Amino acid sequence: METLPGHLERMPPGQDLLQVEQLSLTQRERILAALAEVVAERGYQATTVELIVKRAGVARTTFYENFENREACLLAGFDEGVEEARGRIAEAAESEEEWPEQVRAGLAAFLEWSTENRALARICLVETMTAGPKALERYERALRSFTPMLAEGREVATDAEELPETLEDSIVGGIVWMVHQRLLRDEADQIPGLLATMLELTLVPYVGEKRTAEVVAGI
Amino acid sequence: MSDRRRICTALQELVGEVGYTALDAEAVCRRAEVEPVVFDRHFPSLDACFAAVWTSIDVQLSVQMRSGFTVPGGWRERMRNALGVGLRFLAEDEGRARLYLAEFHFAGDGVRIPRASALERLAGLIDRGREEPTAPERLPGTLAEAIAGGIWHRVADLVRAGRAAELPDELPNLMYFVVMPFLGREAAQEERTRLP
Repeated sequence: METLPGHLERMPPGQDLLQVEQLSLTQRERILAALAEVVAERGYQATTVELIVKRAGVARTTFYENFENREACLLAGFDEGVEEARGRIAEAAESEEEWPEQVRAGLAAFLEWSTENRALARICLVETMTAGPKALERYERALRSFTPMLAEGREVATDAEELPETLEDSIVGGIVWMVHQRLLRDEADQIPGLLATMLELTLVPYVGEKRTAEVVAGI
Repeated sequence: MSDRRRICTALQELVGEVGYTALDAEAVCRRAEVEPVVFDRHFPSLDACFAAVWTSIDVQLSVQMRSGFTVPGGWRERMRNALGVGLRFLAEDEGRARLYLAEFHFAGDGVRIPRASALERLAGLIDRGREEPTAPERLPGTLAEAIAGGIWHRVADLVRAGRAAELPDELPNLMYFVVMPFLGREAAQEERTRLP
């Protein structure tokens, strides 16, 4: 006979499978939410499974039913945060027709997401990279995954062949550095105000100063 | 060589060989040929030892780049020289570059503030570009900070990929990135196609 995981064994009789699965999903979400909160307060290195489960109000066994260890939990939180941010950026960009305005909308959405979800943003942009080489590589890979969005600017640039191959990497690095610092210093309220700087950094190489000034003026 | 210096040298060598997360104080003591009690006399923790080594590298880099920025010429020439000096310094020793640009992430909070200061210094040099007569007036105050962050990221990328020796070759691309917002596309392209 198949053995049920601990938390499911404690379910009152009569609960159907859908509700059981729903509870599992909720517990995972609670653990991830607790991770984000504790990491935001203490930093990843000082965050223990004990602290996470206490905050989440779940048993230790429940944690380990959902995650292999603390790092796996962090990386799951990181992956979810990245996909959430990516979705917000893509949705905002799609609402505009021209590439410069798409960049403006996408960047604004990213800054808004970082401000509204500062604990999760902190996991993504500050804490994950401290968890070890594997986590750092996951973080770097996530950053690289955003460069194609910027590289679309080469299709509208008048002299695309003159642009350095590594331009998009440098731009992404500059953008995340600025948000990273505000999250680290607990100055998330300053994040939305970074949009003009990010537009200057991102658009000028592709569309020039005049067009960039138009986009910035439209903020 | 003093015990402290032997310990720091040992840590730097070992980080370059195996990475910081594979280390403990005992391994550093063995390499340095000191007893743990000697280590404890100099450093409260391995993270503290790492921070001391990181700061020492940062000071050397800072002195060289500041000196590089004082050459005759305008901002562009000085920026090119300072960045070039910095890239050559990092390229000289791959292990040192890894410690400075990548491994610090795993060594606790002790390096966070000094690292931010290092980037602020770089941003300070870059920001002098707005004093150029042709620099647009509308440039936001935080632009230099963003450019500095982008440079760090790109340089760290190369070092993590084991390509520290190629850092000096990256100078034209980095100068393009620095110069473009302040002096425009033509000047940026001149930097990119400039012969070493």
